[in-house]
Amino acid sequence: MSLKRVTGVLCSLAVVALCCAERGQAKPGAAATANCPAFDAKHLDLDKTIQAELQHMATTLVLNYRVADAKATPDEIARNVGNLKGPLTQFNLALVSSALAASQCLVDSDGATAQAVTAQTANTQTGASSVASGTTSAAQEVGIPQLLAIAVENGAIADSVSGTTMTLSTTPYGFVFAFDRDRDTQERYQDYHFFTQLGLSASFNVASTADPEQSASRKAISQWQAKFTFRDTSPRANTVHKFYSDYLASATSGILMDLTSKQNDLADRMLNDEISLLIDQWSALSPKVVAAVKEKSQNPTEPTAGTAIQALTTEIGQLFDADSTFQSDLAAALKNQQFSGLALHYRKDMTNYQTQYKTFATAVTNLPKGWNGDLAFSQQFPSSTTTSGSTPTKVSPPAYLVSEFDLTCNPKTSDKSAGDAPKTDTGTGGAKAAPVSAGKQLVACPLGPHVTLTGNFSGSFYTNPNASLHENTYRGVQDALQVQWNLGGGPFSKLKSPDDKSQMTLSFAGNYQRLQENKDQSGKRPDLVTGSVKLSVPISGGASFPIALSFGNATSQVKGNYVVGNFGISFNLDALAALSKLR
Amino acid sequence: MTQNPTSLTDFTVANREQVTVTVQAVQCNCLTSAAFNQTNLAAQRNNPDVYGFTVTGNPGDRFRFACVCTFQATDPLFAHYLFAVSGSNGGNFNAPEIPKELPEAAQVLFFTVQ
Repeated sequence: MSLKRVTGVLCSLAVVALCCAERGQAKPGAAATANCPAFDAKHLDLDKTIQAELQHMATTLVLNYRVADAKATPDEIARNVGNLKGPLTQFNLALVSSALAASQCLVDSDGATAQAVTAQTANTQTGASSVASGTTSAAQEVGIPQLLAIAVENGAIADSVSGTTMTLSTTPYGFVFAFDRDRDTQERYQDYHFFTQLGLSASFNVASTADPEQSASRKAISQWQAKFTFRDTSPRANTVHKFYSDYLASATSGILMDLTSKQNDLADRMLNDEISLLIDQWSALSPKVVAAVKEKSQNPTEPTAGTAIQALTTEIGQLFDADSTFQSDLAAALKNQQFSGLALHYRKDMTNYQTQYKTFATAVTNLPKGWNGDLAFSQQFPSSTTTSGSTPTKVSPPAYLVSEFDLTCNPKTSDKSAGDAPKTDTGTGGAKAAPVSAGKQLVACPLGPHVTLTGNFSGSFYTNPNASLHENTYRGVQDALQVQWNLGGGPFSKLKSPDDKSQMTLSFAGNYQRLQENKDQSGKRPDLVTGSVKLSVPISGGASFPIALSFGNATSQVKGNYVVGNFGISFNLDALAALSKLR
Repeated sequence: MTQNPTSLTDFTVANREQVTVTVQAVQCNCLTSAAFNQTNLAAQRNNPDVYGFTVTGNPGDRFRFACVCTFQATDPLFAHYLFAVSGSNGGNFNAPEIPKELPEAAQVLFFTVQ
């Protein structure tokens, strides 16, 4: 008897498992499409279902064995394997549900949140700020990368020296717990909440046109910055928990009612004998499976756990297929499919949950949008420059500190479905209509629903002013205003994953800077005005290619109009990580 | 309270014993809902989510506790939920974790009255 036979039995056990743990394929959160076929037992995709369940068992085995460690005692291994009777005897509602739902009924809910992550990269500052010698930004974005972002840029916006910089950005929380994953509990996330909203970045001079040797000196650093954003917009924010309470908690009620239903007791009793037999058979097969796990786990040629899981999936299936007693027990269990009505009920509750999950996903997608701001503190190390004239002189401007306030408004996505009551049959739980507040923006963005507006306001100060250069402690102020439009996926859409929703953006920015030290100095302007047009083209997997054209009436060192082109490439590992998890 | 050594989801409890289930999210937001014996449970506290209930029945009666766990795409591959179970008459145990790597998203624990 082949896998099909096993499958059929597992389905009948799944009915039993109305009783039991939900350990099947259809995970809450997988949203259903409108094209789901009507239930027809003749058309169940049972092979696929059992394959998924066998893979689940293999995965559990491999994971448990990994936990148990290669030094585990035989008793410990037996305990782990014994614990796997769940997948056999507690075949669940979700297993049936996944069999009832053809595979095309399911869309990847993970994709929804991955889309949210990649979509917000357009509003994340990955490059150097506008005063750096190598930058493509005339205005600074508010968003910060959680894991790590790397940007290499060439050009200059307000600096007289065109250069190439590399900027690294991260958050202390993301950086520290990247190396200590097991301690990264949600409880700690709350305890160290401050460090999730604190962005740290440093820009390094990779090359400078004015002084190529400088990049090797201590002045290789162009700037560092610490930035605290006002709102936590990550998927681990408290607000997401509120979205869950508003949109999903009531929908889980139906599933929970099914899983803890009294009716399951009846199913339990009726099939108790079969279950007992299966447990016995499973126990008899366990040593073989243990041996298989051990072999797969210790085999150094196995490159990944996934490979071991796949191999073990096949092996478990073969073990079951080859065992005649087990097969006869399965045949006995096949008689008990009268509980499919309960499974159908469960499916209705799952469908309701899935519908609500879409609303939840929309709210999470919109979380980074709306109003947000930050306070930033940075230190700039301007590049040295050489003055023109009969006796060229090398000038090394001193470092200075900048305190900055940034404000942005990114219009939330309009989604009419957000907040609507579910249209599907509500099953046992009967989810309530979700509140609408999470899907709407309370205070609209001033430039309408399609334009992102960002403003920067900063003051700068010298720590060691040089009187001979007319410098005082107070250096000056700088204001910038940027408007940005999303232009769709961009020319490289075909290279991108379907879940990569990064957007090509076009922005116009104006930047005004008042430099006190330039007042009454020949050849210099105290009031610097810069304009910039920037196009940021997403490539794939969190990489983007920004290109900008800047023009101004003077640089900080030299009076005179100029037009300069700037370009770069940046990698946001947040987006790359979100996408890689889908593969 | 005792835990079945060969099935970590099975527990034996005394009649009227109070049970506390603590759900800790690792590398993901803690998004859970739970029910016991067809009664929805409100979390006594969050992060970790703590659920409490009393098992009342005749000897041999079996009841189910279920907890739906939600993962998001941005959760790392090894994101998981940890389950700790304790009884008012004593006993602290760990139930199997729910990892993101597995295609499941719910935990069901069984409580049999002694």
